[in-house]
Amino acid sequence: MVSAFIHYMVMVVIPSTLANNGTSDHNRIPLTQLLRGQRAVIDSESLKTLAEADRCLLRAMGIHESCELKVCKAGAPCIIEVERTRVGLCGSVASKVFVKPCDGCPAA
Amino acid sequence: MAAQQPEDIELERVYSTERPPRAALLGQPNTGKTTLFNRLCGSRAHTANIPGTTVESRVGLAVTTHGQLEIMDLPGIYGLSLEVPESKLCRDCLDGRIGDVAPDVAVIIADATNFSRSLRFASHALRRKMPCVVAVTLSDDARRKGFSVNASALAECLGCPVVITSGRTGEGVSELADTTLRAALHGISLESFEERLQHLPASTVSDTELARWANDVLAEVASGRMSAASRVTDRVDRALTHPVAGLAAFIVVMSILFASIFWLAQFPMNGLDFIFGTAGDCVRAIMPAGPLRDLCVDGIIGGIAGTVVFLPQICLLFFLLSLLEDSGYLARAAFAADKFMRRFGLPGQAFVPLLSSHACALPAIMSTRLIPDSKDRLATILVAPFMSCTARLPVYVLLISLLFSGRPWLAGLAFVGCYATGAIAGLLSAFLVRRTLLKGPARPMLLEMPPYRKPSFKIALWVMYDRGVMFIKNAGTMILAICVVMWWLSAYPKVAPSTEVLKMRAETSLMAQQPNANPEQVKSLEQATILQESRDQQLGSMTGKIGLVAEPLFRPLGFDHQLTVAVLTSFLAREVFVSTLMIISTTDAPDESSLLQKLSQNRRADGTLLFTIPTAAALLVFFTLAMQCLPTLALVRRETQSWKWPALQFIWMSGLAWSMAWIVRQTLLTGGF
Repeated sequence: MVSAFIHYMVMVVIPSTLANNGTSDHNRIPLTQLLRGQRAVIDSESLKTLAEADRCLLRAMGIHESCELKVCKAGAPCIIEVERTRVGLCGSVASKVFVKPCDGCPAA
Repeated sequence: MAAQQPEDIELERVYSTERPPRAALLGQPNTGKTTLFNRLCGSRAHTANIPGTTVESRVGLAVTTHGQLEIMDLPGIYGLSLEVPESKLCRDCLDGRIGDVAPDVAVIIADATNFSRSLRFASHALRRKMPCVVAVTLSDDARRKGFSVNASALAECLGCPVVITSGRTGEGVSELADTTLRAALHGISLESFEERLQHLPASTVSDTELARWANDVLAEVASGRMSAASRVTDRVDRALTHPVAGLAAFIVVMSILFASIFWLAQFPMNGLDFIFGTAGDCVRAIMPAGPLRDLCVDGIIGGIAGTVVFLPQICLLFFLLSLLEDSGYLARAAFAADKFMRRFGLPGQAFVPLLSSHACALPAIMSTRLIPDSKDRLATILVAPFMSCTARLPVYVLLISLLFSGRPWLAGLAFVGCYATGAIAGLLSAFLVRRTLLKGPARPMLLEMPPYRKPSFKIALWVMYDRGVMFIKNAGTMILAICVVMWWLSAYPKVAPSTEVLKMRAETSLMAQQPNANPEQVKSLEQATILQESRDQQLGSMTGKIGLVAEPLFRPLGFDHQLTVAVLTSFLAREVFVSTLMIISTTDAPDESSLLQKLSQNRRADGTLLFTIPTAAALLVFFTLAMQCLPTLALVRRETQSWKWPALQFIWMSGLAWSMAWIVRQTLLTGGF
């Protein structure tokens, strides 16, 4: 019983608390893994893995490094909202965009 | 009346000696750019390809207090420096590398409802050394949501004139036209350009710094704060992109669209058919018989009817597409279809043209202009005619009835099979063409979902009118010419009456002179004589002679001379096939027998039955896949600005149709049918 409690604390509660409290590299996840309604910040390095043309287009649409987004439709393809722009992203692009979920962002 | 200012007199002097100054509208998609253009130019606008390109642009004249201003609505782009064809085109156009003359002034569109992003776009566009005016659009929408922009404060921040406008209400539109004309006529000096650059962030700043600059400007010039997207938008988006509800909505919307162009358009089409039929009869009654009357009635009036008959479907499709696009749904539909279409190398936007193609390929090909990527668009144009259009229906009905007479379930399955065969062949051809001729990485879906808005009927009517006129002007002339040539080929040389016709005429005359002659019998004999004359004419005409030459090509499919002639004449329009076949068929069936009976008893020259199961099945497969439509080829030539693509389309579709028909026939023959 005690060992199960310790295991739960070590494997589930502590990592999720750490993940929710900061934006360290440990909680970088692909955009496709966010849930609907969840907010996140785009990882500054992740856009560099995209093709130049796709990266430029995303930036022109307002999706750039360190900007905050909200997931309107989760999965692949997904729809995200940045400022007042909603953009549909195909799975091949969304899976390459890494984000850091924001503090205490509730998922729908 | 206000006294004329010295500056105004100077402007008039400059204006009177020059061509109307040209302004280019430059902005991102879904920012109210086209609505503003329509407000500025009204009916004084038309759509044309930018010279030297296949990209279209709307050009119009705006009336200002100092005269006219030519306005060019450039394609919506997300950034001027992007390496995508639309951005490159805008750059080339602004630099005067394409088009007859470079614009004198750029009107940069800034969407008030998405102001920070618009400012970032404007900061790049304003770095070009040319007079610029910033037009803040959708200001009424933003104001309703509690956000407004101070024009003079923004002009101070950007170093160029700013006008607050709304294309929907007309607010600020005449002021924008005046300000733009003034900016065009004044030009830009090096000093004023350098002063403007001082207001803008350096071109090398990072995205984060640029966003910070935009937010600083926003804080300085704007009051209020745009509320986040409404919950209604969230809910509607959630429903429309839901795997089940979204698909259901998609099917419902597309069914309405399809039914409208398939069913609703038939009423005006029948009306046009009646009008041109009556006009032909009138001319026939007025003019003396001879080649000139034949040319007027069958060539010109028939040709115009053959062109104009497509208009209702084209107008209706563009009206509905405009409403869907304006409402924001079209982007969601493209999003929903993208995953499926990508498997075949096509974008989600290709779904609507391919669906429309089931009604008619002509409006479908025109609607491919919705597809932003040129390779995607070309691939869609190339495969759209594979979809079974309404003109194929009479042929399907006839041949399926021949094949499955008295077996309605099998007939129904065959009918579905024809539609499925066309669609599968189209999608597989797209897959092939995107991996061979149009190779290259497909543009991944990065699609902006515009906010839901109440669609404007006025704009939809403008779009409908514009597309209709464009079809008549661009494709109509070529289709008319083709119709006249095809009529000439099937009407000339005139064939002298055969001995059989002379004998039938004499019999008719004798019968009519008899005192107890039965009028019905006389009429029946007259009709039989006319039919025989038409048959002789068809087989003796140029088309008939070409059919004789082409017969060996179609012999492996089981087609004889008369069937080959019917196939060749149906290149003008597929629906001609059935009537031609009726005219030229040689049958010993009684006159009162049905069309189906007559055709089923049709015989070859050697006396064997023509429509055996293998031959009828081969003909059905051939018609399902072949490019039997010259107007479509003419339109593809217009849309691609090249003969290469329609030629390739014709060869591929005809080759595939022939091969598949041959395989089907051989399989059935081997199976003992």
